[in-house]
Amino acid sequence: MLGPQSMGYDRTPIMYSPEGRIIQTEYARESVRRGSIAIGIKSKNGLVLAGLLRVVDLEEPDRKIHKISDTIQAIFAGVAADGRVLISRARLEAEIFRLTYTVPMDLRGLAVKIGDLIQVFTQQGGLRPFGVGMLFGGIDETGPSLQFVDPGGGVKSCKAKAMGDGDSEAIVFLKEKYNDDLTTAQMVDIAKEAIKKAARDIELTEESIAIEVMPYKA
Amino acid sequence: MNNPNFNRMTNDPTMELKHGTTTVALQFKGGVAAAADRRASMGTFVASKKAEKLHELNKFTMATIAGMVSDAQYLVNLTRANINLYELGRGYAPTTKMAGNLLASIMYEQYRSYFPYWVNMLVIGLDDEGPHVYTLDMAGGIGDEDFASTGSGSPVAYGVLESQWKQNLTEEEGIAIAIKALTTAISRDSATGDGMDVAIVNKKGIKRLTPEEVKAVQEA
Repeated sequence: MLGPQSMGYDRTPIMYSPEGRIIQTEYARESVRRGSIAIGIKSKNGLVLAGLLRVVDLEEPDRKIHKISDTIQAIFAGVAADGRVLISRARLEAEIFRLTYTVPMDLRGLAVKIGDLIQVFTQQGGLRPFGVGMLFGGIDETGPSLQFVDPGGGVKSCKAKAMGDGDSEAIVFLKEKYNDDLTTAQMVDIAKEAIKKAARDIELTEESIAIEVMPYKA
Repeated sequence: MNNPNFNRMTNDPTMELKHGTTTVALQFKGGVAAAADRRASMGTFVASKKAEKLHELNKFTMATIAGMVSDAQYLVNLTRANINLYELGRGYAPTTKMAGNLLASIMYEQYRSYFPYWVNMLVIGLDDEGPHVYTLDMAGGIGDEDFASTGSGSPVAYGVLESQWKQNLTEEEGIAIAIKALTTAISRDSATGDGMDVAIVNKKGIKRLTPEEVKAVQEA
């Protein structure tokens, strides 16, 4: 019996496999897993985003954490060009929201907007799904908020999240250490340690880890 | 203009009256000073006594507004949004010159579709080139001036500015002339009044003067 792959169900996001899977989207998730590790942790005291910077030869290191607005930061893992497009779009959405309502955008609202855009690429013919996992972190009316958007367009509110190369090791570590009372300093240490676990035998320096801290007082 | 709507709008006396305002701005050595009254008029009616006519576009750039309030507020918000997006994308802010020309482009585009934004604005600030006072008209024209005034009281204010402005004013002299020009406009133009907002931009950024500081300058 031939598998769904050899039947061609993996060739387009507009066709389900007989098991009801959209295999192109699953391949896109695989490209997230190949990206450099990105981590987000939140507690009642604030939020920390952290990521591993990959430096190739003499290239200047890329920015790993991207400012979306005064209150929102984002980090992604996966195809860099796809991520850049989504970052620009998120900045535009946050600015349009502020222009319309005069208050900073809520994290959930932004993540859903980006999720809606990503979803179109899993249903329309001739399009390739975005190969990035996006993590939006920031402070809004609800306090610290961490929102994960996956290549299928799904949006999940998270306490902590790891995505990219070595994410399973990192998530095991985060689960072990997480509680809601962590201080921002503790979260920074945990994030760094999780990145080290994910990076396994790669040698890390202080410059190769990007950190963004957003403290919060209720 | 051949467009009938455009002619009606330019000749409409109610439109003319919505210009009731005076804003002034001038360069001094190392910065700019700006002042604007707080009255918003609808014909002979005072629609607001606490209208905000000095707006911050970013850390070193401000705009003053005169004309239709809705158009002006929208333009300020739109320019600010564009400036923020520029800064987010690059990690550094656009210059005052860029902010002024961006706003002029937006206004020119609208003018060319026969329904111009009904405003006269000043974009002022400090960048690598030095202090700037840009005047923007509703047709999208932009000019870099030593000093400028907009609104119904501007002929009165220009009288003071023409007679008192000179090169290399100190910050204190600049503030005093801006306040003097606006005070004069308030006393001779009926659509200008209800106190004033005064601000300066120097290398430290934007600073708004308190009502007490303004009063002290007026009484000096």
